[in-house]
Amino acid sequence: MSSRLTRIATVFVLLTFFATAAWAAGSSPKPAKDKRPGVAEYNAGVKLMQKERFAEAQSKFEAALAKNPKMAEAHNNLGYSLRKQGEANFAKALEHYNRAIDLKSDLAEAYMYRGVLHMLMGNEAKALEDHKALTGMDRGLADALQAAIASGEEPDGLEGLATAW
Amino acid sequence: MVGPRTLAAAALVLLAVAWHAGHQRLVRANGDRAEGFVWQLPQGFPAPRVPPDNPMTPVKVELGRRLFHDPRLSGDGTLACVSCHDPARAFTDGRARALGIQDNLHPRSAMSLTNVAYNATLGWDDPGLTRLEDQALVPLLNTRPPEMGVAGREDEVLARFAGDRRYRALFTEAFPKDDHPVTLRNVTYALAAFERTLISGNSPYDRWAYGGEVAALDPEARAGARLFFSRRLNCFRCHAGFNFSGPVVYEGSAGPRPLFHNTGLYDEDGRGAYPAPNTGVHRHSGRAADMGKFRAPTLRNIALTAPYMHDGSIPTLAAVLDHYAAGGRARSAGPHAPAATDDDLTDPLMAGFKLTPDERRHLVAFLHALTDDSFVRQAQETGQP
Repeated sequence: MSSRLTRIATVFVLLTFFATAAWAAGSSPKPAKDKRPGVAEYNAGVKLMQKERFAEAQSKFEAALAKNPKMAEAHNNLGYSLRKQGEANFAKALEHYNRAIDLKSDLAEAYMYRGVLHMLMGNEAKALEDHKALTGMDRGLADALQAAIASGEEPDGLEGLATAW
Repeated sequence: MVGPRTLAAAALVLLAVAWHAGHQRLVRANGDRAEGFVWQLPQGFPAPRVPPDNPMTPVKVELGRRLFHDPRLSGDGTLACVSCHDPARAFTDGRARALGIQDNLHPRSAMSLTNVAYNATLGWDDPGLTRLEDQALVPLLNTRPPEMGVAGREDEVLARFAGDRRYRALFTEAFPKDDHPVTLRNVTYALAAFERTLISGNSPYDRWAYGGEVAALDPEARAGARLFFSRRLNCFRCHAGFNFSGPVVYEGSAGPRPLFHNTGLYDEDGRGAYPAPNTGVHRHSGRAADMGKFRAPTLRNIALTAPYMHDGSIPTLAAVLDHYAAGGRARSAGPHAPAATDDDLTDPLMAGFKLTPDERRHLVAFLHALTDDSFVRQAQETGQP
């Protein structure tokens, strides 16, 4: 009797062990939340931008920059969110693209967005300067900007969105 | 027990080995070094990708250039590569279909070699042909029909170069590790190295796009560029990027997916068949879905390369525009026209569009603005053996 109990207990322990291991393997741990200043707001802004909710995205990027004014990517995306809300915001959008490039001179996305804005503002020469700079950074974005400048049409989608930070 | 002297000696040996490993001279797979070759690239252009087994060297390029222009490279000594790839026509021949030795008519037209280094695939329709070194064998050895007619006469052709003092020296210098460097393999490697230098990027469009010359495009060409890159026409979707072509490769680029398009040029049977043997990728794969699929060639110097399409069946750029405006010639004028516009074979981008006479003229002006006169001039000047 006692040996039977021992066997049952052993099987139970083994089953519990393997079930726990399988559960652990199948449920990847949640990534640790990035606690750097402004990152949560920035990520929320990117999601809103992808949903084309530009006014709300603007607020998030502004909140991110209030906590971390040197976040070049936030300046870039804020510029885009502003620009998409109308021509009245073009000058302010340009300021943010310029700031993004001041902070991070190799941020290809900012050249892409600024080039499109220059095109929309009728500054073809400046748009082409951004295209030229972009050819050495990101060939795909450079080609998209080339098409935008030549056609005078905005690119499809959010090409130029800075997602990683 | 290991004594301190033994340990010290072992440490010294290890240090010596590590120092040697860290200071090895990098030597390419075939023993050649790529030293001395400097790309001369137009603004905004990436460096071409070079196979590790065929590094660029000035002497190899020079050897390739000479071979390219030398009719002794054909079986009967009558044709050179340049016979079908004439620099004055942006390395095409002005014919609808190329002419091989003894007037053998090729089914397709000679392709431009402008910026051939960037092509992800070579030839009109072969997804598997990706290296210039391999492509060079096609015209040399093809027998259906014979192009340069070298097949079966390889030894005879190579003996012509082995017996030439200047060529012998060039082969030896270009392939220094080979005991017998005058081989068909080295002929194709030298040709490929030369062809990689045929880079064109100084057209009015380039001076506008990359050179800071906003006025380099005249108003008609600028209006044409607006149309070319518009969503309404979508020309730039297939003739894409800096090379105005299908997929490109270059140093550091990802391996692109080969891309071929059926533009509705033919419909022989009401189901989209193209006339044999020019059935496109289908010719290689046998797949019905690949019927009529061809590569989008570069539009650079396109004004110099008439007639157009894989079989030269469209004589002018304006007529090419009419073909695209119709959503494919076969849909508007083929034996089974008007064809359905939702067939499975014709590329969905071939939706057709309307052009006013002014717009048509502007587009042609834009295509002319892709002509690089300096490229053609330089190719002609350096063309003589």
